[in-house]
Amino acid sequence: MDAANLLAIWQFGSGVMLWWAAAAALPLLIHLWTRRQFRETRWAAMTFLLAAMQKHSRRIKLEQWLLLALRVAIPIVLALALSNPQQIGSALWRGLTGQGLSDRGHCLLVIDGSFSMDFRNAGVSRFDEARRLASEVIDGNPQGTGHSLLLMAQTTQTIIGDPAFEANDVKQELAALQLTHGTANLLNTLQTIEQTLAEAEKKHGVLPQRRVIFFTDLGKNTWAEVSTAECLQRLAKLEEKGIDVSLIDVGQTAASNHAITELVAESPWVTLHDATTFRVDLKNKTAAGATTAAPQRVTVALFVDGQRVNEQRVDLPSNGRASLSFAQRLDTPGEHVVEAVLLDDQLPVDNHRWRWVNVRRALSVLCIEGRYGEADHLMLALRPQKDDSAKIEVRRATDSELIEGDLQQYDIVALCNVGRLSQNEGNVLRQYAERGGNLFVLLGDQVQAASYNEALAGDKPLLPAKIGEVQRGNELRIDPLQYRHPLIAAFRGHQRSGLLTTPVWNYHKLQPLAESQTALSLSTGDAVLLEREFGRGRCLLLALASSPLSLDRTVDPPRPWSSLSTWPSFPPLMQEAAAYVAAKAERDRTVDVWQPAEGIINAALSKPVVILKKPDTSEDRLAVTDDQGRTRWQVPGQPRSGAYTLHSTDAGEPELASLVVNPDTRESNLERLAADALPETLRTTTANPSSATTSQFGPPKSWFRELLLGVFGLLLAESFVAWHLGRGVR
Amino acid sequence: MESSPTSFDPRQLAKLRGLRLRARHVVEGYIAGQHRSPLHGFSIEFAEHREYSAGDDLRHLDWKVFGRTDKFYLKQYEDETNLLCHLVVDTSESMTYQSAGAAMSKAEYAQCLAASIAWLVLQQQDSVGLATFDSQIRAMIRASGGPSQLQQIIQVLEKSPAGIKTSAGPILHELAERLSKRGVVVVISDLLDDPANLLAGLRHCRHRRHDVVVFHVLDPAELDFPFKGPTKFNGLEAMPEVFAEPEILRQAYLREFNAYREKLEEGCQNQQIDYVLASTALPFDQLLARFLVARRTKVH
Repeated sequence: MDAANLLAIWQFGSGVMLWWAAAAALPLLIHLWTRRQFRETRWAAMTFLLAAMQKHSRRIKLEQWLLLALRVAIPIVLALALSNPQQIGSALWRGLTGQGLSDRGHCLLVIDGSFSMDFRNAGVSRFDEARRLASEVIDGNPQGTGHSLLLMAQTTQTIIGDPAFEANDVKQELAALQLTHGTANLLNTLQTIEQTLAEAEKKHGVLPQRRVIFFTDLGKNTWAEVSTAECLQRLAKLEEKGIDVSLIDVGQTAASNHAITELVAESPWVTLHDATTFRVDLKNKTAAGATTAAPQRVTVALFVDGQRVNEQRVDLPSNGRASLSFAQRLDTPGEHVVEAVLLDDQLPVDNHRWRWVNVRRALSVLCIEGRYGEADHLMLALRPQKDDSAKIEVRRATDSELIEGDLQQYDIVALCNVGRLSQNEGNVLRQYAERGGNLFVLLGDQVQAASYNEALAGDKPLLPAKIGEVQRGNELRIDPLQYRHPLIAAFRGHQRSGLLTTPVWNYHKLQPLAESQTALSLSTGDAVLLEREFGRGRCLLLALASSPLSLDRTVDPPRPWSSLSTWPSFPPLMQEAAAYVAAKAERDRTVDVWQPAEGIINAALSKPVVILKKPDTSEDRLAVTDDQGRTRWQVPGQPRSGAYTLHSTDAGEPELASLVVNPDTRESNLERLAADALPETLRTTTANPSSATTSQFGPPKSWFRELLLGVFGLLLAESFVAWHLGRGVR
Repeated sequence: MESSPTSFDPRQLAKLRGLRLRARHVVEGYIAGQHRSPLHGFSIEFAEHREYSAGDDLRHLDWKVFGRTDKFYLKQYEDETNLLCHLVVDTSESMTYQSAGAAMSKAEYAQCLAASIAWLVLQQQDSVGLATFDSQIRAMIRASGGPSQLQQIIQVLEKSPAGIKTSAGPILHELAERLSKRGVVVVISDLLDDPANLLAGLRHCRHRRHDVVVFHVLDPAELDFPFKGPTKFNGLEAMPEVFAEPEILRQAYLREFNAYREKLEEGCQNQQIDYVLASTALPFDQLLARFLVARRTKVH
């Protein structure tokens, strides 16, 4: 047993009481003091005294040392008893009896944290049942057992890695454990188990009994991969090391579940006074043994910012899906949280789904013209209405606006045949896109490709492609590339929309850069519409002219580069492009569990810290960074679904931003893995009290009483030895 | 035996200055309580008959026996002189020991005892002599019944300087040779010497037909070893100093000491020597009575 291992067995309930062991110094001090305090006398019968001493000196010394040892031992053992040692007893017992160290071990408790564990049976969730049983296992294990605690999740969380020998600490952690609203990854869990055991072995040596106990509902979503080669290999490896792996099943066989699988706004962006349609997708997974296969009528309520605003009922077929649409108007601009809630279900987590929406007065587009009139067709395509009901507001400007204006107030900035771009203008546009702005670059006959390439396609390219020479062709046609790109997807099935028949004669040849996506190309194979992400924004590059003002003067009469801007497909193409980038922006604040989110606050904060308020009312403090007068925040992936808000640390903690986190609905499927599909190494037990006790290492042992009895024994022995010595040597 | 407790208690006697005064207190107090002297008849005539052999003095023939039996028997007579008492007193350094609870040192007790016996003997018109010793004989007064004998003895006792080392065995041998007339040899000592040597010396005295009485003078602390707590014992008579826990050693010491004392006592009994243990806490009347009763038993 090495030193670390030895230390590991000395666990104390009240370690501070060990200070009383210092009283062991008192007998020593008294002994030394009395040696200095003596009387002196003359003595005649010295011969007999010397004879007595010589004959018994060894025995006298032995008895004196014995007496001193007893007196020193009394305060030490008393201090040990008061400090409530947890394992000394078993260690001593093993040392005395040489028994096979059978009552000492490392118990690794693995709780399934996937949200299917939130399924309620008779009001008690599987997760609560798992915690209760794990607590029973802890109680049942002898006090010398070290416990580790893992939470199975998408990435397994190590709650207690280094074995904790204090049962109450483990139970406290167990009580504070929260399930995640995501899935669990079995392979990752097995890796973490190996790692945890290896680290414990490194620190405490190989503990004689090592056991891994899974508390799970055996959800197929998690356990299906148990039969993969890698999982089987890892389980076999644990078995080879003599580690007992068992499983306590807390699931129920006949469990049905309804879930909201999606909540989306049908409009790519939401504007004031405009009813937005929110679609709610529902799924019903009926248990195999369910008595009825008839559709079930369920109620779905819609909440906006926590206020119930609508409610609908729908018949949800057995093992089927259904959708509901809520037309909802949002009357105040800004950030809103929309929530759909399914009532009356035993698994609450997937009965909620959220959508973050930013309600604008309208989508704002700035059109920078290379010459007057270049943006006419684009503006008309984006805002065909004349009245105030338009969902897109457009504004015309010259290229001086790039430097002088505040681009950040626009959702989209479109460059329409702007001749050349300076380096400064390039930097402004790059910064704009980084902060979430969207740039449309529409080329034309004025464009100086070298200037664009230098400003926007250099070291940190914003453009999705380098711009090449002007190409000429004879009535080239547009290829939708099988409508693979979502921007073009709306044209699928609408071949007569004109997109495919748009005549093209001149265009800039584009050389796509890495990470760019081609939405459209020409019949020659040259890409003409590309897009790529840049920072939090996006850049679209159209190799064609967006107005008939770009003319090919090499022919007589001069002819326009293409008929795109006057073709019927142009307005829907531009509308779809605007919707595509706007929808991307909306999605930024609607994330799934474990998915990070980020955003920018258009103000500098007094302190570089914000408060993240979570749905369970707990709070985190997050560091934020200053970005030239704005504040950039990042929220790491969260384990639980719900609406999260960011607040300033200033007085009153004003809300700065919000985001929503949705559960991973793969866990809504409560299908279970059959016990016989488990490898033989996993022993499955059902959830009942006796199953917990089968996982114990041995009977619990309290040593406080024995130590106290030891103190009394020592006191008696001390009295006897002192009396014996007082009687003198015979 | 009735006596005034104040007359014989060493504690009371210790308050009296002068050995003479102390001895007088003891003797007068003791005699006042007696109906007759225990020493009376101690030296009466004693005779026996023996067959005549050639060369015997014809003056001692018992003619009466010859007349009756027609055989020659000689009359034999005991010494008809007065009792001769030789006091042999130890003045070595070990005799100066006096424990905290004791009224007198062993030396003072021995002197008082010797003076008292001298007084008693002289009162009976007998003769008494004195020898003091440590490693050798320091002073010697021949036995006499003269009026100044007591004064002389007391002076010698009072002026006896404390010696260094006891060597009682050789001294007794020497005295046995020097005391030509047989009598009673009274040895007053703590006898802290080799028991074999001591008994050899005493045997020598007995061999010279002396009647021997040994007063073994001991301090109560030596008999009981009552010390408590860590103690440093400074040895007398050139013995080393010792640091000890007396409670622990008490039994072992007593065992050693009693073994030695029993050996002495047994040796004395084997040689018809009177052994009297004289604790300095013991009142003198009891001590004298114990001694004299034993003597009377022996005489009659």
